[in-house]
Amino acid sequence: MISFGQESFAELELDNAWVRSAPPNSKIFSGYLNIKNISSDKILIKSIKSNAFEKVEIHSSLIEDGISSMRRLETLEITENSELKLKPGGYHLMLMNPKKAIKEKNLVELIIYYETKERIKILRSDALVLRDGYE
Amino acid sequence: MNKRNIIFILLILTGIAGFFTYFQSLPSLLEKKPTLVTGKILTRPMEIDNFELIDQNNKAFNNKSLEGGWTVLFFGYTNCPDVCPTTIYKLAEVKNELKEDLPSTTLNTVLVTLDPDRDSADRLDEYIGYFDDGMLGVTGTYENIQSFTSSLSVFYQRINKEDGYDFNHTASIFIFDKDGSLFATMSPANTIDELREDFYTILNNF
Repeated sequence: MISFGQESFAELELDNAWVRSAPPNSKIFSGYLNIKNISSDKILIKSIKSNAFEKVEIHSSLIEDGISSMRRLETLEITENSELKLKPGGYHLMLMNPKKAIKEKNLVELIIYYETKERIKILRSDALVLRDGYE
Repeated sequence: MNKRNIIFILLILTGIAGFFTYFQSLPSLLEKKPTLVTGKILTRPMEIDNFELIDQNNKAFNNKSLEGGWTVLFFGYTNCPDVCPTTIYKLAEVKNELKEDLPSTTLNTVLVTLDPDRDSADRLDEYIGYFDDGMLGVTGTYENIQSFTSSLSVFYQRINKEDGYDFNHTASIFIFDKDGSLFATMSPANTIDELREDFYTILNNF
């Protein structure tokens, strides 16, 4: 198991952040990470940005009645004292239009904007660019 | 003991022996086809309609291409960043393990694109070469892809978005036997252990 991009803040712990590399000329990449809410209130991820991509969206891949589809989520809710894993085939980040070449084993930055009871906070994490991995 | 009694006893013994033989063979008479964890083996392999597509090397991909070995085929598109590479890696890993355990078995893996507008043979070459160069990437004209998908009852629908488009599509993995007939279907949503188990069930029993 890879373990990368560990960051923690008062409410959130980020772990195992990675971006799947793709062949040259690719415009769309996917990203994954584990987000643990260590606070006793629910937290809402409002948006995610990256230094390496023009746009980041939160998506969910799902298979329903044998049909594979992707759904865009406006926000991501993480209930108190729980962990949400973004992983292949499930919740993931859709990273669009790279600002620079995304190379294997490089790092890209993910910037997470989340809402607590008081205000919007920001947490950053490095994500490792990897080619394989399916869990 | 007279002769008649001996014959009578022999007859009974023969009967008992016959009875045992019958019951011993009974399980194999009742035995059904092995079943899959992640999908279904068809009651009878199904021949599919003629199709004409091309692979990433601009070589014809048609019914003949399915013959000679087992083929694992699924549908996708190269602008799908999550599920497609994940399925490619799962299948590549199973394929590599099978190559070691069952070296005499040929298992070909194929991705057929649903997005011929963006997925030319060149783009597929780049994409497939990046993730698993032992795999075939297949494209074709819009009409030919449509007729191939409909012969397998594959559903797909283009979903337009602000910037670009995606597809909703049938998720199944299709398994073709050595004659090129559709043999089984599986679901890619399952774990690699379940997929592996199903491939072994098929390749060890048929």
